[in-house]
Amino acid sequence: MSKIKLISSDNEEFVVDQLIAERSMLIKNMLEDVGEINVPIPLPNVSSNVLRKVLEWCEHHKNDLYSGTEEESDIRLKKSTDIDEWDRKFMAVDQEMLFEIVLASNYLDIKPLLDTGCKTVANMIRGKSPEDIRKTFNIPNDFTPEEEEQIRKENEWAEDR
Amino acid sequence: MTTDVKAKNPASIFSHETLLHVLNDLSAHDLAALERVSRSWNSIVRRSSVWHNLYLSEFGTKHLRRHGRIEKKRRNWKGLFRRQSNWKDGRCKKVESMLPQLLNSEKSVGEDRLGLTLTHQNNIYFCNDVQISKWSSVGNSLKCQAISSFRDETVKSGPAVMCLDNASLYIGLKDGNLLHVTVHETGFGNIENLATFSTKFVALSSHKNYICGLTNDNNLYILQHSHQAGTKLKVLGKYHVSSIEKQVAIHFQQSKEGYEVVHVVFNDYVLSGGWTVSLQEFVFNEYCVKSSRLALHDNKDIEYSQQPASAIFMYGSYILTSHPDNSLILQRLYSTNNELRIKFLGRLLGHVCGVQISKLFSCGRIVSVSKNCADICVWDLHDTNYQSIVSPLMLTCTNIHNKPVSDYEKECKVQDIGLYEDTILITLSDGRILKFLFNI
Repeated sequence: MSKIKLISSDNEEFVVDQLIAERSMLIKNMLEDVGEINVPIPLPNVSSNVLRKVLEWCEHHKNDLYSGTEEESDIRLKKSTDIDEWDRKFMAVDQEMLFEIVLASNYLDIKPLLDTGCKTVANMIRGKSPEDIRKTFNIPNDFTPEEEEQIRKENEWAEDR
Repeated sequence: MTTDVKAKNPASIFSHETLLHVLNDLSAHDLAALERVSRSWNSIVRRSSVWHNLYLSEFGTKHLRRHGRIEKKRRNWKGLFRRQSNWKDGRCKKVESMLPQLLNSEKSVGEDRLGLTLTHQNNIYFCNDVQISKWSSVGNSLKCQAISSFRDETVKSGPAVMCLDNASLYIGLKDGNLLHVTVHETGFGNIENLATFSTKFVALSSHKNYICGLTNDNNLYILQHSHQAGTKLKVLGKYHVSSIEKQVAIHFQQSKEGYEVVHVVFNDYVLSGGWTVSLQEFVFNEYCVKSSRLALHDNKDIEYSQQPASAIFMYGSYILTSHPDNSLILQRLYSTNNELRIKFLGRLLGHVCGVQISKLFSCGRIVSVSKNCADICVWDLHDTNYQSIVSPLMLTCTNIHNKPVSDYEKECKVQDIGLYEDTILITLSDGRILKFLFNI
């Protein structure tokens, strides 16, 4: 199996199987464009600790059926909150790392990882009160009490849905 | 929960696209909470397509035809989601109003003080033996749009049936007279007496200048109304139908190859099975009735009931019957090899107090009502073929039971059902109008 060389933003070198690296559509397209695999690929937006984590995910999922480009309509209609056991453990990282993984999977164009990451972020919001959401993400409340009350009234209908 | 100092606001880290990806996994409850978190989150949720996506995932694209009319303008998807959820949950605001039996008239109402009502879009036509009026339902109230009093010589008894087609309102009186009134934007035209029949009409329908009606002495008439002077009414066909039950539906179809088509659906008893409905088709033009034929049932498909239907309704090719045994039966008429056939589509179960009347509307919804409005159901017919039917949304309107029994309670039956946009209108024979607003 051919090996690919990836360089993280902090100049660490990663040597991985082509099959694993090609879970990233960005890398797959780059390899196709360049035409040869011996040239190291610089990834200036991904630091080594995040890249290591992302590659761990790619390694585990290397044999997953590749669904290619998914229609946007399919994603929005497929509203499953369930994340598989391995991914759930994989995503049990601190918030900073989780956000980095989401950003990296978006940049590297690894759709299933982005899906899992976004679902994990959504799970941090689900079922919470506005105050709990603020605490979770350290968001200052910039509404006046009157404004907040008005929005609360407007959205009262959605409370038990 | 303590605040994590290292925690970061996703809104300041992620691209709009990624945020949308996160939001698409959330429910209406969560989106509403996010709108309250901060100004930036409020604008992200409101401006994005997330409410639109939620609407689509919850109600699917099939429902879009329902709002086809307003497709062009930018929609308030959040509002639409809310209204659709109200429909799904049977959440609505009930408004009860009373139509005045008399307006601006010196005359007193005769023994037929209970008038007759007919709904059309958001309008209600009301008629008794003194006057006719048109009301429009606006928000919580009813507004009188037009009123016209009868001259003594035209009207001596109350109305038995009414039907409306375009600008023509036909009223069959209890004494056998048939009246015609033109409905203008601004009011009613002249009230003219077209003809006197031996008995009253029990069913009446009109289309273009044609009228089809069944009289109490079992005569089925197909008539042409001429607006010129001279003979007002020409009889194109008259049939004596001895075995017919009084509950019938008369439905004009699209004209075919220069001929008009009318369908008469009636209760029919089959010895080997029980009650079902049969359909007779009449094809005619302005000169005569060309042909008539009976629709056949698919033998394996035929659906029997213990009792005859209390109401029969036809819309397009769909036949909807209401039954005292708490069920509604939906059937469809189709033609094959030059034969007309009735196909059973489904039995809708969900009522507990019997079904008195039900109607199917162009948006694909059925509204059915029990006697005295004890329960009201809304049914969504999902796919475009009307093949699958979802369970009913029960509208709880228990407060109807709390009303003191009115002195003419016996006669308090549902006269008509209307469905217009997000409002259901139910008119009762005691003059009450019940309005259910889902747009709350």
